[in-house]
Amino acid sequence: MPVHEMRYRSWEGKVMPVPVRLLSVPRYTLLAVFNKYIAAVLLGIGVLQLIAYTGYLVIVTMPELQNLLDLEEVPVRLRDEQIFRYFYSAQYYVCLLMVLLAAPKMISPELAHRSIAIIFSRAIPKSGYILGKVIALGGLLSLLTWVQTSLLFFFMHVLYTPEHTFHAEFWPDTFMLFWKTLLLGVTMTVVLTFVGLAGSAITKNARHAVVLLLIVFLGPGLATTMISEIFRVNVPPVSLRHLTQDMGYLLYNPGELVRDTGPVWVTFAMVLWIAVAFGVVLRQLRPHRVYRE
Amino acid sequence: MFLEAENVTVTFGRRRVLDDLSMRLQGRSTGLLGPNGAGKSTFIKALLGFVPLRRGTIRVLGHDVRRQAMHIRSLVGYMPEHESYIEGLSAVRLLRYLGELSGLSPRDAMERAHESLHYVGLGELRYRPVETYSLGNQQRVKLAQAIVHGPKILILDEPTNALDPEGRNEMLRLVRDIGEYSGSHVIMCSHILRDVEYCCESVTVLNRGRAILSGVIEELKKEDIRTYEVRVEGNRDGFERELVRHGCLTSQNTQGHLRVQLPEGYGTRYLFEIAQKAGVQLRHFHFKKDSLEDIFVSALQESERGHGYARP
Repeated sequence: MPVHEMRYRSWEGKVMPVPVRLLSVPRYTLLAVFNKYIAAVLLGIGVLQLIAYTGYLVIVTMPELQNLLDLEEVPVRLRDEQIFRYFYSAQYYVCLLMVLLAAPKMISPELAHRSIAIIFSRAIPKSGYILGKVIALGGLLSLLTWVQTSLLFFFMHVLYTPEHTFHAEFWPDTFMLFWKTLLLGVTMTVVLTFVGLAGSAITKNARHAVVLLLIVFLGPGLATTMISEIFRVNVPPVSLRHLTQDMGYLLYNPGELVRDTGPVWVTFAMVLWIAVAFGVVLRQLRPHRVYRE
Repeated sequence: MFLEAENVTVTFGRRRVLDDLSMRLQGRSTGLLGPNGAGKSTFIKALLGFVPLRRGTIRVLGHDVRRQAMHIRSLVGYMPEHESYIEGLSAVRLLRYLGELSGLSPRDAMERAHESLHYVGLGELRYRPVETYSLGNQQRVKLAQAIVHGPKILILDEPTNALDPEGRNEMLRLVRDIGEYSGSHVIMCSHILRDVEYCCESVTVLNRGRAILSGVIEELKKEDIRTYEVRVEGNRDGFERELVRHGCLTSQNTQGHLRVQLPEGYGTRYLFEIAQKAGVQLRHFHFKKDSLEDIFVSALQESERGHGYARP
């Protein structure tokens, strides 16, 4: 209809409460992420690894298949540990790829064309907007981490019936591991979510955000390794990959030292990563900074 | 009165962008005028609660911006000066998103998104990504997003930027229509005086972070019996010096005529006396009815001279 064939009509309807209106933030953010099919493909790969490990569990619980694959020779504990180590390594790398793919789409596009100005002119708190973004990226990463862990343990619980011969020696350890691995998955998700959002908030260009995140993920590990090698000093590992590995190791072997460091250092470093990333997001989204022209 | 600012000071670093600004806005539509850097955009950001006030208060429809910024934002629709869209989102989806953020249910938001886009004349293009629009149509999308939730106050920052003459006329008609028929108050920031004159009932002029003039446009434009346009034969510079010596304010209009404002309580006889003293003949002489441009220029000049007056 051409301009002015209709008169302006105001709107007087029921206004939704703030928590309800904030739900649209993760919804529209995820829509933007899944505009690219590769995100869906990556999510599919993440789900595939769960299916693969579940398949593996089916194999080890079926004596006929074990005989066929000569799995009886493998000690149960080794098999138990290996499955989780492979599982977590794969989880971390898929997660990392997902962060590189999805995180730049979170805040950068809204900074690029300054739509954040019209978003913040709405009656929503900044903290709510950030929470919406955390839910979007955190939810996506959760599907690849602790949700999968929970599902995996659920399948194990179903498959490892009390009658099964492995149950007695396998299940009690595994059940204890569940809480530890859940904690590791949640921690990894939180750290990667905040780091991803910080990378996205720091630049208006999504491609620059990818490069920046790569540097953040790989740089500290590379730097500490080089410093350790060149100066022959023991630098605590600060890269996210090392920390995730170490945290996983600590979860399996509580009380032991990792690379001459202990659980305090690993926890401190993880909290530091979260705090720095959260600080960057808050700083970048200060309204008068966003509005500066 | 829907907006009241009292002694508002905003600083960026050491620079005072708003300097003890006080003003009251009333009526359906108000134009905020001022040269670049006058503080128009900063004032808008301050009333939306984005820029902290160093001193003073702003009350919007009775709500204090320091304590109720969120509530104020729910009453306001803001059309920024710069581009504002999310790449990849169509106009209808963008408006729906912003409508939902404003508190509309998804169904209402969708309905209002379509309605607003039809209203601004983008009905046919509403499913296209906004980045593919011309600059003029992007301006319309910005207007549509500002009205999608039916705000009580609509703030438009340079709404005719980047528009061709036809698009500009349509935008101005829309703004005027909203001001006249919606029951909303419109605040229009612009440096294009004709746009403000067409759309607004009243005007407030800002300069160097202060309100230097405020009033209803028609009243401001009324004949000012103290102001004359004159053309002289003889030593014009000498005449001008003589005028200033006698307490008159002088300037030059666009045709090159001398514009003279006599001091309070003096009439035309005084002007003739000064001309006689300066030894010039008055060849052209008439009362001056100000245009908005004259009012604006005069207010700025007086402000720069340090008079710092503010008409109520």
